[in-house]
Amino acid sequence: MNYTGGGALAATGTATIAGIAFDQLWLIAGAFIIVGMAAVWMRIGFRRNKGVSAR
Amino acid sequence: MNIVRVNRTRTRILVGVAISMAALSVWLVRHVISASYVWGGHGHAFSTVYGLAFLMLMWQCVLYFFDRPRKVTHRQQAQLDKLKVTVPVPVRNEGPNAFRACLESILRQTRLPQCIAVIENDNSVDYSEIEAWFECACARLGIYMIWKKTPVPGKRNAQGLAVLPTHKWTDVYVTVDSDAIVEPNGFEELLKPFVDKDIYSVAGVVLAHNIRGNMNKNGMPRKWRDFLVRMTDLWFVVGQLVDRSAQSVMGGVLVNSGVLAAYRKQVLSDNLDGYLNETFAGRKVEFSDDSMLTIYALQLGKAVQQPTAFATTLMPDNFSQLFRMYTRWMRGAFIRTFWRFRYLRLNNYAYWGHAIGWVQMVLSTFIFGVLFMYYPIVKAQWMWELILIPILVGYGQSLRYLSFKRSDDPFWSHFLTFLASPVAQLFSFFVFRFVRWYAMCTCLKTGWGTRQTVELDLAPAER
Repeated sequence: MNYTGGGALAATGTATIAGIAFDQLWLIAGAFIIVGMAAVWMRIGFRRNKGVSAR
Repeated sequence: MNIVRVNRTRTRILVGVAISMAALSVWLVRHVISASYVWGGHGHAFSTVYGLAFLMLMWQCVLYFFDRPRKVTHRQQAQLDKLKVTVPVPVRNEGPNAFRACLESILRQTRLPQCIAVIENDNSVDYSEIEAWFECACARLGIYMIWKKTPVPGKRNAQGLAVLPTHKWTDVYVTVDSDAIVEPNGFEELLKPFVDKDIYSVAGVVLAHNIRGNMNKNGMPRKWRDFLVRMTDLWFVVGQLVDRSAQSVMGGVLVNSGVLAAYRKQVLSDNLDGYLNETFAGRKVEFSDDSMLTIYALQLGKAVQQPTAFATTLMPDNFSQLFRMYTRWMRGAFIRTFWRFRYLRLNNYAYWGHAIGWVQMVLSTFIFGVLFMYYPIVKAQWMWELILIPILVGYGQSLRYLSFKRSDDPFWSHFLTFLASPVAQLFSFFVFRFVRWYAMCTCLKTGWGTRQTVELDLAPAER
């Protein structure tokens, strides 16, 4: 597979800026959303004081 | 005793920074060109991910380039000299030679502690001779000694037994493992950052003691064991001088080493109940005491590393011990994820550094799955050239390994270890990655998992 283009993983056939942005950013956005949601859940979503003393 | 002396070398650090900056500059140009292809609609689908990973790497490099040891004035040193220091030493089935070497190294400090508390917990080794010698040695030096035995297992419980009778008059606790050999100026250097009132914990830098002369059970020398320890040392030390140094610059160290670290007394005394009774999913957590204490410190203020406070310790010389140690660390790290997201202050760099670390973890896991599992297995396409990236990054970061000298390792040997860094990198890339996943899946196994009997010891002549 060519590192800089071609193949199923390459951003082929996308002509619009929005299309390129989606191709390039969906994975990063997904990672941030997964970690962000997990962080929010851990911050507010389960019982306190099971491990660290609350301050 | 074979005393290992470790010194930072400023010249080598500067050479390492220069080489790293040159390499980063070239790579930056490569990413700019790649970005121009992407926005022309021709780039690789992961180009932006690679670009983001590069920016994170560059940010980390910039941070650890600025890592400096804290220095103090005469007046500040006089203030530090007034601090009352207690050293809890939990011990359980430690090799007697290694344990005595640890105690001797504490007594050899240029800055002696006021109190040393040795707590034998669920121990089956006879240390009576060492106890008798140690009592005399402490009396001679005017150090208050506590030596207790408890049938209750657990390092935390042992530390608690040391804290309870001492916390009213102690200012700083220095935690050491029972196989740690602390550099003679280790405590002196470790205490220096405490001149800053906002700093609540200080990590030391830990190196492998047994980089040569390892033997099998029959007493026969085994070079491959030396090599394994050296690779572990390389991976572990580079981790401290890269990841932890970068965190230290921002006052947000996430994990200290239990081998050598110092805490203001509030870190332990204010949190003793939570520390001794931590549970995760209803199970008592025994391991990761060091990362727990670091979380407490981060709740109060900053946590830093002092890159001139060195200690050596015995590292695993076989794969069984190495995997058990790493699995235990990774289980602890995964459990800590919950506590860090839950309890770290949002205005502390540690919280955001930790969060970004998890974003990197998600991205790298996905890309590893696609490039090194999906493509080879499903499409029979191998992209071995991509392995060059972790190897080159590893070489760049391993330059930090050359930033110190140790008296038992000539430069050529130290340099050969550095040259072998691809071995450590590839092992970490392809093996530790899966061990980490395994540890995350089995994080409910919260027992210690090592050392039911003596597993490692120093040779008698070495002590």
